[in-house]
Amino acid sequence: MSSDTRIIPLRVVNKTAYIWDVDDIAIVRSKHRICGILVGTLPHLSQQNVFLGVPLVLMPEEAALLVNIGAAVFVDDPNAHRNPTIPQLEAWSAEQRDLARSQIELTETKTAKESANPTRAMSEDALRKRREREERKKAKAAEVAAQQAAAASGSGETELNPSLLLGAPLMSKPETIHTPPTDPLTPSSSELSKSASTPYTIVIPASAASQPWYNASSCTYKTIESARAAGVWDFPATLSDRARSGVFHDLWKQGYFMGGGIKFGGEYLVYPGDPLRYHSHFSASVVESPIASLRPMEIVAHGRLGTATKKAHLLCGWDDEKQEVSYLSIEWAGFG
Amino acid sequence: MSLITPSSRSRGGGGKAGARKHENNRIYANPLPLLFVEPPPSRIGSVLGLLGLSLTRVENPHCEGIFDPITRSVWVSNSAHSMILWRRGFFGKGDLSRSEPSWLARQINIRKSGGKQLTSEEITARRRAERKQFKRDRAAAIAAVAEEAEAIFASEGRVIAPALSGPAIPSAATWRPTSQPQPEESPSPAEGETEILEDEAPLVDVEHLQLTLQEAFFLLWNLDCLTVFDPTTMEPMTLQQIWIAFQKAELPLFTSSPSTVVESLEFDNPFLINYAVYHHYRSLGWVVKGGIKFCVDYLLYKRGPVFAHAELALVVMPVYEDIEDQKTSSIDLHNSSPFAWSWLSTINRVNSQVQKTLILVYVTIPAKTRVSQSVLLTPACLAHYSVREVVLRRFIPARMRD
Repeated sequence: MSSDTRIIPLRVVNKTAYIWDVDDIAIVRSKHRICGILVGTLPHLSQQNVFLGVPLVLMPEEAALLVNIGAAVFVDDPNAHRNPTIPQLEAWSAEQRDLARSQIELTETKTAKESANPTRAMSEDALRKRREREERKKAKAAEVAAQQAAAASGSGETELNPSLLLGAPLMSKPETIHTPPTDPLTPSSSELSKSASTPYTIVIPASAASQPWYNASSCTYKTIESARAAGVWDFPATLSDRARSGVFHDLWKQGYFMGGGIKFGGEYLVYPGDPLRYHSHFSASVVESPIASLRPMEIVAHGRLGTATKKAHLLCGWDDEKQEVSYLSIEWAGFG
Repeated sequence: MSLITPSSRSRGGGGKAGARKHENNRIYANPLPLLFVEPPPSRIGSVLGLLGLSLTRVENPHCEGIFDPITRSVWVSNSAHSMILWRRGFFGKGDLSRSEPSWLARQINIRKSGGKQLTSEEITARRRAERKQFKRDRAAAIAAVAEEAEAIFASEGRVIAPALSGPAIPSAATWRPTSQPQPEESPSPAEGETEILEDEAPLVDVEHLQLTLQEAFFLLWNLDCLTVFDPTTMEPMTLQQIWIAFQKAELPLFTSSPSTVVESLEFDNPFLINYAVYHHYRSLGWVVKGGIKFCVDYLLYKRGPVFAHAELALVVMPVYEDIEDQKTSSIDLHNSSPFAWSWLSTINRVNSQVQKTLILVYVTIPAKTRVSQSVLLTPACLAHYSVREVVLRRFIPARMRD
């Protein structure tokens, strides 16, 4: 976190705002009281139902609020990915190759070290078995070599084949780097024969923003209006959107944290502090107008549900003309 | 069966609960107001019995009620009648009680105890005050323990994690309110009250039984044991008058009145839809009561509310056979358009908390193009309505493996 005042890019895809950078996630949570929901997978966890990884998805209210207070900008993510130029591509594949090579070298030194003092890990018996196995293999190889020598005297082409096969993909298709068996690392055939069988990991960066062809300068929007004009973002569009946005902003301004509240029959769960530290005190539902009708059944439902989960239900009435919110809380009072 | 019944049975054993159950079985022995009286066994009776006939007499209580269009209900003021309707089939509700019209009995009890018996509202208020006091005590005790730990740290440098529970801190299970000097204050006004009460005139039962329009129509149309009087003329209403009046009671009061009766009637009248549901479940032997306290339309009880908790909660979902009828309708029918997922999840959660299963009851409203509006003039139109049910349960994968 070099500076906490930096403006956070919200990457918008299909009118949903995501944050991919862990530092950005920390900033919006600690500084701006915006939690969002992590939706990415965490590959090392067997159950992917409680803790998840990047990206962080923001509710439209959260994203709109961040942009409105000037803490974030919208980035039209699909358009920020330009077509890479040839040099960029070459640089990228060179980088990939270097990465692969360094990995292979690492594995090789490791295996070399292991084979240098193999006794460390093996018992007497295993060593004896291995020796026998190697001897058998050697005998067999000698036999095959004798046969091949007999065949080669016939045609004489076989020696050239490996380098031809492995060299060809490098020229025609640089992206075949993804398939390690036909790996185009170096033309040296001795190294190739070894590295072709050595597995390595291909790293795909979670965020594409560091790629040289990622350029968000022409598709970054500092206001909701400009993003709306560009067709990137359209929340809040309707009265119900405006009401939700207004209520969210008003609660946020009072220092609350908000999370999704559909589980408890509301729009938001309202926490007095970070949701990791506190239980929510309210479940809030948004009423679109101060004169909107409210069915008695809703009062019953919200009263019951809130009280059973030790929350008061908050009815948040949005006045679109005055841009104001009025609050009313419901609690169940059973007699007896 | 509800979860409550077995536990109360085991707890009560042959004691109080068992006795109450026995008493309930006696009081609420009849499922409907009509009684079937068997004549004493006789020769003629057994001969007729062989022929498939019987001498069983039907005893019809013939209750009376007054139609009240404003509250959309029928008022039964005769306490003998209200008792019959309540005890034989759990029809209606006392207007001053939660269900059984028990206002008079409660008032008499209060008088007997000399005004010392608290009402449920007063009990609630007292319980809340006590709980508040408990929380204050607990917070103070925790603060005291923390302060002590601070003091030890300041003087000796030892770190003690201040306990959040323990012998020094009151717990909800053991805390008792310290007896306030309240009893000393109260006697004088209480004595004064009892004197006044003794001077009072004997209590008059001001409570009446309210029947919903559905209940009233079921009683008078199917069982013929209710006579409904017109609120203005105080004349008994005919079935035809009642049928029309009940439908009109659901319509807005000040609409431009159409020239003929037929024109004012609609297929999507809430009375018709609710009656279809009420009649459907009553006919199948359920006791159907209003379900607003669990944010649903109806609750279904086996035998009746005094015997067991309701296990099923109904949400009435009217469906137009012809979508055009909905567009042109003047009635904004509740739940006729799909409600939000959040609402479904809310009502389902509320009901699963109280061990009830939610049932969506779809009532199909006949299309105007198919059925002539004139059938609405008689209850025979109900044949055109159909009822379908969808049972809904919350599936919790982690808890429902076996």
